[in-house]
Amino acid sequence: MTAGADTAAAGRDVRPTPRRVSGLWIAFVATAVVLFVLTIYPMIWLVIGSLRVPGGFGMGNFVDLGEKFAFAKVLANSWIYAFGSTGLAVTIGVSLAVLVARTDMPFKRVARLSAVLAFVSPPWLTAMAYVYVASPNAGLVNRVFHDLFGVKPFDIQSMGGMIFVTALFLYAFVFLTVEAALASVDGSFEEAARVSGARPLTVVRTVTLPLVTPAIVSAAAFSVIISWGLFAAPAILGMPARIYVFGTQLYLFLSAFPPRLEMAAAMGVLFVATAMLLAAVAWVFRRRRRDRSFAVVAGKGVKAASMPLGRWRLVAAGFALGVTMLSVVGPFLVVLWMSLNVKWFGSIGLANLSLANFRYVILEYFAFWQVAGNTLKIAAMDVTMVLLTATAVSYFVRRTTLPGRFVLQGAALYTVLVPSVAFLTAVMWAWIGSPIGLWGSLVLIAMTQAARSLPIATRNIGDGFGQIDRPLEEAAAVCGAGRGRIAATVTLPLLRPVLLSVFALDFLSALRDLNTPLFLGGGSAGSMTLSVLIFQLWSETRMGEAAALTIVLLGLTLAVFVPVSRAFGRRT
Amino acid sequence: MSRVEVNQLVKTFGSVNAIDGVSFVVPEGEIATMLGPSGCGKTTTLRCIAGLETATAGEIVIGVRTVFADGRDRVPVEARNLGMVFQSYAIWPHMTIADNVAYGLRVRRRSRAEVEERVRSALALVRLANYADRYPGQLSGGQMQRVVLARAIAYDPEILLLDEPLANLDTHLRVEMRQELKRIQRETGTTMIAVTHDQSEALALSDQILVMGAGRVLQRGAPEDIFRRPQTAEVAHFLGATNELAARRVDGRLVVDGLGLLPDGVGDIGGAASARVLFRPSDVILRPADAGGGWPGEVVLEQYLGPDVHYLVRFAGGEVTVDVPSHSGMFAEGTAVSLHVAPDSLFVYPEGAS
Ligand SMILES: Nc1ncnc2c1ncn2[C@@H]1O[C@H](COP(=O)(O)OP(=O)(O)O)[C@@H](O)[C@H]1O
Ligand SMILES: [Mg+2]
Repeated sequence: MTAGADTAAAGRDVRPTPRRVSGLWIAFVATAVVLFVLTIYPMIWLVIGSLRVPGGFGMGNFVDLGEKFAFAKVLANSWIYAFGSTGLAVTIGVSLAVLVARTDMPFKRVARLSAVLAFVSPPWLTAMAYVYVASPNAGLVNRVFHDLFGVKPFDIQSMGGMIFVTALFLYAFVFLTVEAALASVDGSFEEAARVSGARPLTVVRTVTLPLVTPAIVSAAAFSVIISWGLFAAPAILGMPARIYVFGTQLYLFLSAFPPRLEMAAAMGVLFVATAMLLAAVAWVFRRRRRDRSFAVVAGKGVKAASMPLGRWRLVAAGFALGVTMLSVVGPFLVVLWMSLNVKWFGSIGLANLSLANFRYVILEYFAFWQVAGNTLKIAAMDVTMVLLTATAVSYFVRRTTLPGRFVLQGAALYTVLVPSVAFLTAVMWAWIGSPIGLWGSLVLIAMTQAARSLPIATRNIGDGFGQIDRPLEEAAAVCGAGRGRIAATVTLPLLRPVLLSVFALDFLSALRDLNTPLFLGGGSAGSMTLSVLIFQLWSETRMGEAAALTIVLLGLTLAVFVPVSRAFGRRT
Repeated sequence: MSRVEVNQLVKTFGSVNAIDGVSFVVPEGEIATMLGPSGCGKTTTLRCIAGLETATAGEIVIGVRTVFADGRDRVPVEARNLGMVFQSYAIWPHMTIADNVAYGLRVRRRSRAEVEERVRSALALVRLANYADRYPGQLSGGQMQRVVLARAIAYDPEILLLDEPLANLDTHLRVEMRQELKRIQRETGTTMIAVTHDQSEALALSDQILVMGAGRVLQRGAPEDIFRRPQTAEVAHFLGATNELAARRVDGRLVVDGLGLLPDGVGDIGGAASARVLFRPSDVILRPADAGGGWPGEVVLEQYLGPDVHYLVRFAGGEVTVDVPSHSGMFAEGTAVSLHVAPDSLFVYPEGAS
């Protein structure tokens, strides 16, 4: 080989490297800017907003909260509501997780499926169904009881009712978290306890539950944060009874005339701070536990222990089916029934069934197609932003050593600690008077949903990266592929299943999201979504129409979801 | 301390017969090991005895109690009063070492003083007295092994079951723990049933070895009995007789193709026309070809292993492996040699149905 050829080869080898690195940097900075706009910028405005008082800055808003707005009552309600729902959800979710993961209970698949459905079903659906069944005066069950015994025993429009209905959705989150944790705990821990002489219940108490306590604690902490961010159930069940919690009180502030934006911000800051404190406590707890259990030898393959329930099998199955009935099947059937009824709270016969409600919402309501189109457009923009950003962040964290990549990850993940409605207040502050005319646009709604979805998406995609064996990519590098080519030809194709599941989950949650378009849409048809329209119809007591539109939304969701999950299934 | 009796035990998973009619008796105070290749049903048998798996048919008796019969468990796991050492250890990470060891005593509601006393003596027995308050995450593999042992014997179980107890340890630790295990068994007198796929482990530990294959017990006996007199070719092969030759009967005597007559008095194959002849690589003596006698062959490969040299030798009928102590001289690759095997080191089995 001649010296000339050598230099030529060297020249060819050296030049591309800096170019690639600078390309990486451009992508990194772009991701950082996007994340800043999506998640950090609004929160800065929330703090500014909470401190803004007439003629400058100060703590006045916080003082006003306490003095003028019976804030103590709202605070007490919010805590009772959040901890009550969480307590009930943890009780149901953990019991069901242990039954499914650790016993021979029948109907395990039904229990799993209904948890997933409860988790992704529209938050107002259950609340609407229970109002129909158990509202204090006109509720179906109450009327039946009244006719038979002369009493109306149920009142779903109460704190107890709010907690009950919320737990029927939150339990799914606890269940899914704890079941996943149990699935990764080797069954021999429990078998060892049984061999040592412990009865099944003792095993659950002394071994199973302690081993997944970290998962239970974080599921509980997040349940509390999620409850503080809820709006639909407290609005449908609590507002008629004048029970206000954080979400509904914020809504009052924001829809007042003129809106009390500073009050909303001050309240938002308080709840965000509390939520972060709660998360910090849970985190410290988890860390303490992890330090202790570090490096325990696990078995060859993780195999779950299965404890025989004996004659309790039927009881367990009844419990699982009961939860399914109360949380998914029952509410769905009730809403279906409502959608087919034109005559309200009248007789229960089949004579009144008709498709009139559907005809109204689809054909007669003037903006149905625009509203449906908005819903899909928002969802499409949302998933695009989420997939791009979450993949980019995960890539930087898992596959580069760029300084600041963990800051990026933090910016993508931290919004999980911010109750939904507080974040919406923040976004409102950030964009409402801004010269960039995003306020009230579909893009802003999509951006905000994306910011809310980023934590889970980033976690899942990051885990997906973690499961790709490094040598697969290193082999491509050895073959001479550059960074971009490796990502495009090896990494992303291997990530496809994860990306598809993130896509599906995110699309579903975008379609059923009520909070974001309701708080940020401004009420005009131009930015209205199906969920907001449903809520509006409900508020106008057009319950049949609201139910019909909910069924339409579910149909639309299925129409999108089934082909996607088919594609997902074909792959694996 | 109890005897264990297993009668015609069968366990099927779907259409797989994991165990297929296993029977044996372990007398009180003895160590028995199940030895066999991976997947032959050892763990399943052990788990059936423990009650962690419900067998399909057969009978299991522990002490005076029939714990399994007629296809159902009569005594549940927690009431069988056993100790078990899991292959994965399964030391509870959320409890200290002392709490781990105390667990079985606490569920038996023993007094606080008794729990303390027994935990102390169990930990002393496994030489971990100073580790009581640590968490398992801070222990080495050998120490974890000891904790599991202490946990399993602290409440004086009737029998102790061990599933590949030494498989997760590295070689020198394995030898040390093997000795430790036997010492503890001799001190406590606990009846033990262990599972292993390592023949030296089984030979060193056991009073009785059950050689298993494909869900059945192929042979039972004392270690020396099993090692010296394997009853089938499969058992011989599993116990290290990896060289195999095919022999035919010619005029009442056995002939190996390419080698010639086998010595008189080797094996009795009844009326069969052909036989399999197995022997261990270490039972072969290699001599230079010109020394006379033996089977002629040629060294194809030489692998120096330190104490031993491992040769691959080709002869007219095929290839055999030979292990020779390295101090007895070396043969270069390509050297012509003669192989000598003592008659009582040749295991001969009739072929075909008999
Ligand atoms: N839970 C199970 N389900 C299905 N097959 C099993 C199960 N456990 C063991 N087997 C099968 O039973 C056979 C014996 O397994 P095992 O007792 O674990 O063997 P060993 O411990 O001797 O390696 C194997 O073929 C294994 O695949
Ligand atoms: Mg095994």
